[in-house]
Amino acid sequence: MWYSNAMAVIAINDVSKHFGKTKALDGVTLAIEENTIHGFLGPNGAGKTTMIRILLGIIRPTRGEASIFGLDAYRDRIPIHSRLAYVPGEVNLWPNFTGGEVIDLLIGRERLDRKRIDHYLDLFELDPSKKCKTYSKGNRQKVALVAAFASPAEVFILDEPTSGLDPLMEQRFQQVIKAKHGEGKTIFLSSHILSEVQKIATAVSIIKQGRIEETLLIDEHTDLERFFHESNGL
Amino acid sequence: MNRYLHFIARRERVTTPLWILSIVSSLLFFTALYPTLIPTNEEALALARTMQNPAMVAMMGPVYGLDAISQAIVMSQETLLWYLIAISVMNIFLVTRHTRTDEELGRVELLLAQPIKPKTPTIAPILFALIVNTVIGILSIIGLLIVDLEGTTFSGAFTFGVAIGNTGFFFAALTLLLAQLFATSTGVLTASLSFLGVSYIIRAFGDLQESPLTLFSPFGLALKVRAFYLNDLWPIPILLLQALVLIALALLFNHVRDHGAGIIPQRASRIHAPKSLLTPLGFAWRLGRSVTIAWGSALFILGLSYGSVIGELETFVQSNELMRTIILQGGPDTLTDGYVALIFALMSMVAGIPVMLSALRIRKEELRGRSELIFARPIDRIGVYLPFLFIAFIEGILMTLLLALGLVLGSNNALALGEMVCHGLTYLPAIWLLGGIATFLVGMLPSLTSTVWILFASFFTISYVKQITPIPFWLSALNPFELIPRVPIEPFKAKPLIVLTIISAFLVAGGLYRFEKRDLS
Repeated sequence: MWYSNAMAVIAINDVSKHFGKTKALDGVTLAIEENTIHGFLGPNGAGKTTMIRILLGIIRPTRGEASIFGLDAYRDRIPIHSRLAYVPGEVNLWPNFTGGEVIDLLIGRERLDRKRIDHYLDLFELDPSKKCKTYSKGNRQKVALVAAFASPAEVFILDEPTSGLDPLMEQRFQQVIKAKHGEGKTIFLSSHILSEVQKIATAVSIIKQGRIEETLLIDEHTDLERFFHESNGL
Repeated sequence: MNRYLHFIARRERVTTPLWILSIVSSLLFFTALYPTLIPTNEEALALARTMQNPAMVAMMGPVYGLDAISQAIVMSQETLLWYLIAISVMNIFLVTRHTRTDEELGRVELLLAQPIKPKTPTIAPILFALIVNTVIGILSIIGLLIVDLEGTTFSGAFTFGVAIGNTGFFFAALTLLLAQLFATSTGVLTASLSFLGVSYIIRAFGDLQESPLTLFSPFGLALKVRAFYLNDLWPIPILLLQALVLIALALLFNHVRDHGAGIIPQRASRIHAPKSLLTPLGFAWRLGRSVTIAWGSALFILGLSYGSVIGELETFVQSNELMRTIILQGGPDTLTDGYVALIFALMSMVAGIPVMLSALRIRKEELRGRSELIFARPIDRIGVYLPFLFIAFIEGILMTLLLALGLVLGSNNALALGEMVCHGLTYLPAIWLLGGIATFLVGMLPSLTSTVWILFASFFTISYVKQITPIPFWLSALNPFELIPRVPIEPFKAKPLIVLTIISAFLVAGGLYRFEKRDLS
């Protein structure tokens, strides 16, 4: 193994999650080191979102345990969440709140920093004065991204965060991720798009049908594409 | 223009027919009730007299034609105003949809790129509204002639139908103008509906004082036709002229303003959350406040209307055998007490609806896929849910007070406020129990939360059936509201209230405990 559990910010140990008879996750073990950009790749329905919901303490694993900062993801979710930011894949907002209101609400009163919010609003070219019901999918995603990036988190959990963004915004997103990485943050990036992960990730795990197929480090020599073909693609 | 009208008609192929259908079919339905309601002229006269008290006049308009009473006159006096309101609401939504909403969403811009005249997107919606209102007017006339109540004449039906169609067209024109003034569809809707509300209130005051003030309201004006009695047509050209002036102004403003903008500068919307929204209680209140306000006003108005008939109970009960059995059931001391007891028994259940809605709101957040956003913040689940339950708790008290206040004001202080408040508060434990059941389901059986409505409906049915025929005690005891002593005709007992409150507390505690632990969806 190339990692050691001791240094892992996120540690997932033999986690399974069953919904009735379906096994959404089946013995997932994964460790994500501090200050890495970890790509979590898998086709739709592979269990990516279920894994993220377990990390957020929203659902409890049927077996095994997940921890962040050495704290139990389910039991200790409050201290964990004050050091964590999250962007959902499908961003559902309150139709009658303005984007600005939602951003403040998601960051919370104690962690609010107007300067940082304004910086990311500019970067993503988002108008915070509009009601959420008038936002497109991409704009709703931007609301969640601005809220996440403007909060003082150490770990960012992002579930398919770019699926509604146009290429220019996707590029800006990648810049921010690299900058956060430069500041020593840890990023857990779930995606089903190979090229997106390949561009920025420092390590990649591949999940299929609730199992981790492979975990590998990425450098300029890694040919993910070939690797995927060998493991029968995604 | 033809193509544009066709385009509107295509987009309206479901909504508008549904509106037309519901307005016309309710007209048919309610009109057809009158032969059973007031089979003889004496009964018609008795009913018309009960309508003569101030509260009823304020609500339904002035009574007329007592010297030539007929079913048709009573029907028109009691129902015309409601059709006027319904068609006005329809027109407000219809015109807003095809003017400001389209502009807001950028649809008009796309269309303006086509070879059409710049005024077409403003004129076409009002033409479409004209057609729809004409259709409803004609169908109303035909409907009235088909039901053919005693006292129906062609000129009566004609005035009635024309009043409906014309009032509708007035509100279409008004909305067209407001759509030029306000830059958002919400702004247009709020302004138009407020105008409607103010028109109703002005008419109420005008009719109460029998002053010409009522003519300043389109509703007051339209009611002046006194259908099936005088069949006055003079208000019709006035309404039409007003509508034309509004349309002319709308076209003028449309010419002056920029595309996408309104004449009235838009108030900057919030780009930061107010401090209150960032507290759990402020968040919970913001999500539910409009529902709370709506139900609060509904209960107050229900109270007002039930209170307003207190003075006429004798007449009312004499003319209706069923009412008599229901109110006098169990041999109560006085008629008024029986009536008050019945109102509280039934209306307390209605007061439970907003309480349940508040307790269920967190589940709605879950179903709308917002729970992850809410709970990925450093805040525990109970801390999020508890404020919703606190609001539900207070709501129970508030709704009861509003109902009692409405009854007292409606009765013109014939009922004592202190007593009514006490009667209302007696039902609080049962109202809270509804909230308790909802909370329990949210925690324990989240996928079955909607069963609370089935439960509620069966409580209501039990109470309703019990009014008409005796049912075994065990069956009525399934409804917590039936366990509450029926004050003032039954003596007050504290025990059932205490037991119900304790059960509610346990249900809430159980629900909260599981909610903290269970998987969220």
